[in-house]
Amino acid sequence: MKLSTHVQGEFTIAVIGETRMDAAVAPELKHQISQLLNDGATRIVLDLSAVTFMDSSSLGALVSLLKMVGNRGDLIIAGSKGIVADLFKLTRMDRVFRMADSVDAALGAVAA
Amino acid sequence: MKILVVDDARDMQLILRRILTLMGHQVVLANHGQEAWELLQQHNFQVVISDWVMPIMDGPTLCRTIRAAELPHYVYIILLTGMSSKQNLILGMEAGADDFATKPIVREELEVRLRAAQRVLNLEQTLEDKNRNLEGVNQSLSATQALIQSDLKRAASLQTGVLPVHKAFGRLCVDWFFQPAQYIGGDTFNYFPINDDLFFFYSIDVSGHGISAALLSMCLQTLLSSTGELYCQDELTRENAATFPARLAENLNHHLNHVLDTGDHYLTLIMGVVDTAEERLHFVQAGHPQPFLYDPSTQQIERIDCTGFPIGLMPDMEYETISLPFPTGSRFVLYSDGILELHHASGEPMTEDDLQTCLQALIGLPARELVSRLGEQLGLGKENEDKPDDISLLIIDSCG
Repeated sequence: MKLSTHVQGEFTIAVIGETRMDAAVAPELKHQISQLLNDGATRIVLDLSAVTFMDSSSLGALVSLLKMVGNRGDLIIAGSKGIVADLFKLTRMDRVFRMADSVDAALGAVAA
Repeated sequence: MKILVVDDARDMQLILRRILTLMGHQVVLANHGQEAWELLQQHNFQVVISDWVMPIMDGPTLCRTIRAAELPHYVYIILLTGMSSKQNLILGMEAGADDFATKPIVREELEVRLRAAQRVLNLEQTLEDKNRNLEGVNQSLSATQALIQSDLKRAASLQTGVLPVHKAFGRLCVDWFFQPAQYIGGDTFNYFPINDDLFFFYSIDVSGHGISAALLSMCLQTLLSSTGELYCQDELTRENAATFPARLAENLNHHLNHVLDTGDHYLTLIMGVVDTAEERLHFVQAGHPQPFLYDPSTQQIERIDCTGFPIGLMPDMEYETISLPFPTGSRFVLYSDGILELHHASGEPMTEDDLQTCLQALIGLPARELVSRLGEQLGLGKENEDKPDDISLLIIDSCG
């Protein structure tokens, strides 16, 4: 799975480089982000703006990552759109995750 | 080592035999390539030391003959070359020779060449052993794989076997389509009458595919069956029908988060009850694709805008029951998101709107015919086509 990360202030921005997040990607996604958490990142912004399809196993992976973060930090979903945003709404996960229109909006919203 | 010496010169044969015998090797002599080849087919020689120019069959031809024969063991070939006539060594290599030795023979040089030969032959032997071992492992893996495949095929037919068979229940007519993605899948559904007035139904999609998803879906079939633990806690009656689906979803969510270890799996569902006496539909939405409802008064099929938390994803979620009128002529359509992973012939992905258009166009057909026509239009049921996800579709008609 293509994932690029960079640090901006206290945030770790993780940009998903895949257009499809399906069962083939989910385990790797979980592994790589949990690695970031193990390495000490607590505030993660996950940029999904390149993603055009997400299935239930990837959503499941995101939720288990959110549980891993717990109260110790943030896992903010940024840039979801189209059927990816629809999936978050349909499953009400847009009420469980902190959602932002873009990475900039995510950083701004938290700073404000 | 067992060495075959091939030379048309008697003195050369004798010199080589003496040197090699003194080194402790077993030596057999041949006068030319043809004679050597006949001996090679009858006996196991590890090394051939052959002259280049010989009558009947020369050295390079012998090399090619040995290599082409693919003997059960590797034969290490040393070609002899004269000091004066520098033959084309590349030609010898290409014919299949491993090494060269110059005439006149120097004992020490030959010993070095034979030690190199021994080393290569040992490596060849190790490689052969490993290959044989791998082949054995591969065979047993293939056998296991075949067993699993046939098991999965049987499991798929058994899984289809738990799906409901009856399709007419008083005023209600029901039909469905089911197709697992890879032998067995995580989609399932069921429906059954509770009494003359109440009809219970659900459509479930377990996240992920394969064996564990399928087993979880079977597990849910048991949990939600009328004798199941969850269901019995709280009997469904006409009085509680409007709150029952949400409470059952909460129970199920609790069960999956606290009792059953589902690993990474969770599920989306729509589960509900039709009250035919009241002509009402009560259902709970847990992250499943939004269902369609046909209203006979407007003659329009509409997508019901509803959302809900999936089951087994997070503990202690609240669910609500959606209650809608369901008069004679109504149609309720439930489906799993596998349909939305299909593509049109043009390559465009299927959308909810496309499905709505299809359903609207076929609204005059009874459920049974609708299922087969929709199947044709969406390209379902085609054999040998790789479906990305399980596909299930459930239609409930109030026929009056």
